[in-house]
Amino acid sequence: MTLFIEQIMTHGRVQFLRHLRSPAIWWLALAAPIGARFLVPDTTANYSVLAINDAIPALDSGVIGLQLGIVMAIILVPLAYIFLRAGPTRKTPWQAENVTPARRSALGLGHWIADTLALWVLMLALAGAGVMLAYFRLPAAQVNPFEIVLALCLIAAPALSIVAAIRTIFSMRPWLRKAGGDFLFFCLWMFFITISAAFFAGGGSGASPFTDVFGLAAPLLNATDFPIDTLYIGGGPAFDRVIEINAMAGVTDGTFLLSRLFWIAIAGGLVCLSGLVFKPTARRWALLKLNMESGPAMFSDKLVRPVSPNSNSYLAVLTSEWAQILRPRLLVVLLVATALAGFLLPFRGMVGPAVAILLIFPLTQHGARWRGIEMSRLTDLNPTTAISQFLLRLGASSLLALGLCLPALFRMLAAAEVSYIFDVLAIGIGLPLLAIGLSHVTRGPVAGRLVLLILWYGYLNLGS
Amino acid sequence: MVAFFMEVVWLDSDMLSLENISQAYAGKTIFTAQTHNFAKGVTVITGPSGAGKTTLLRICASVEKPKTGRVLWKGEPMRKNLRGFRSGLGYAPQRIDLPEDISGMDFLLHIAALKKLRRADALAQATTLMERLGLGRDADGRIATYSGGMRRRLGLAQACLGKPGLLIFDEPTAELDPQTSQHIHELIFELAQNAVILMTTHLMEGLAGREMSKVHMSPAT
Repeated sequence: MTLFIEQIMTHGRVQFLRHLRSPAIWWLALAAPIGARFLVPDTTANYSVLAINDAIPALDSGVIGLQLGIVMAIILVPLAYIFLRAGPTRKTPWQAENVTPARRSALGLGHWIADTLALWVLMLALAGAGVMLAYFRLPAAQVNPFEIVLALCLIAAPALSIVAAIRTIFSMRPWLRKAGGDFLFFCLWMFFITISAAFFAGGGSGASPFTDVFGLAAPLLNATDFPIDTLYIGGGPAFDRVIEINAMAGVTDGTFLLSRLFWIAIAGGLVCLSGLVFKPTARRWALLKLNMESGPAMFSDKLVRPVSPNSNSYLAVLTSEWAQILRPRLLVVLLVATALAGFLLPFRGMVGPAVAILLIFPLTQHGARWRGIEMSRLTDLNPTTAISQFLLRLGASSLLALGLCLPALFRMLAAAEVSYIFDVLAIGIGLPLLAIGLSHVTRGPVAGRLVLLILWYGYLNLGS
Repeated sequence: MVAFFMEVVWLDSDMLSLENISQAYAGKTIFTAQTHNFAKGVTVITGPSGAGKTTLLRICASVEKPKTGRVLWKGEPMRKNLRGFRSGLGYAPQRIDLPEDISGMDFLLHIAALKKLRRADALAQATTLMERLGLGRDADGRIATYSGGMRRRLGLAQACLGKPGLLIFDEPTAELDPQTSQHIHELIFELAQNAVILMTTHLMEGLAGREMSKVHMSPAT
């Protein structure tokens, strides 16, 4: 048992130090005051971040903490996931970890604790920013830093530890380490939000803090002495009406606190159990074995004729980009079929979302494909400059996306219906820009994938 | 007068020159002032680990800037016409994080396109290079299925694409068996007829009997 705990502590310490030594966490912590400024709008703002029954809660220290905590538990959760999956600990020394005698559950728990602590550092940065902001939003005598920090932490800390648990669990199976994990996280996030909304925004009937995994609505249960009929979190209209709520009563309620402990325990338990189903990435080894079995390498003695650079055309680069994006062949078949459906089916609600979802995964994957640090250093040495390479990648992706929208565009123009031109532009230019841009900047596909999946869900629900 | 004449010849030839190059990171000296001329042919840079061999190659490849001094290519400061310099450069670093999910051939064709080669020329040259390096059978296989040695050879192949006048290989035969190393050396010395080649190695045995220059680096004290 002592050894098990030692393994947890050792692995956790190493992972946590990796987080702290990366500039990413400090940049995000520095961004917290800027974020807090928008998450607690002043009275002149034309939007609201938290609105209950079409009214804005009257600001006090507790409400500032509660508001920041709730936003962190719903909107910033995907960002936390992106930080963990695309951040400094995304690469692991798997050669050593796959053969270590340490228990996989211990490594998982260590990883979970380290990730949780890293996210809590960011949470505390936001709490500090909230305290600073409170002095601008409230009379100095009414500012209670303790209430702000406590309210924020009691809501956000468990939510962040759940995200860290999901990340750790997803690192245990090969398919969850890649796009499958990102897609499943998106589904889980949507599911948990829907469950919370179903229980809490319907007048509170049947609502229990235990049904609210991220704790985004449960703290309001005891903060209000009236049923919640409508709830805006993140972005709502600027309502004139103001209501009084007791934020501290909501976050210090015994059932709420018990529910948070319950979910942290569930998260830790699942991380521990997930260690039992760990599987290394095996596919590559199977294929490698096939290579090894095909016999020793055959070397020819043909002369290598030098070839002078003689092309000023970028067509070769574009062709290469398309060849890399359009694989496997099944994707090509699906894309062509979806594009052709544009001749017959409505764009919004059917063809547009279908084209978008088919492009999100290959484009984000492709945007990150050549962005390994060593690979970037190498490709930057080519006569095609780094910025040209980025623009060509973006151009190839955009041309592909626009090409897929052409049948639908043709149908729209034939019917003299131009109302969905903006949709075509969003998919043809906006989607590639976000996919390639975010993958390029973060050097990985996770951020672009998740952001685009969230936007895609919003687009799907736009209605006709 | 003689010196002037010598200078003109020196400028016309393909030559990489280092003038008082030194490098230091965070106050730690990697190597002190180095002045060398590297002429057409193979120059092997040897020295113990930590002597700064890789750092020197990275400076020669314009990946990083030296703390002091400058690098001249054909008599011109390299950084004055960086694009021109890089259009004639082939560089194979020790490690490349290769894109795992495309084939070796697709990787080479993409690099060739970035080097502004015509696709037909690139395809022919890439095919020859892969066959020379023992990768012909696996050209269309995904890089994820390549062994460490195959990845190393693919890294060398991308450097040789086009018509590089300066080739820089960092430990080209590390991880390779003696027979494969021999094939790599044959290719390198064949290319050396038309290029300045710098390479580092710890394995001098495989180079015995070949015509080359040697530079030994010692750790800075």
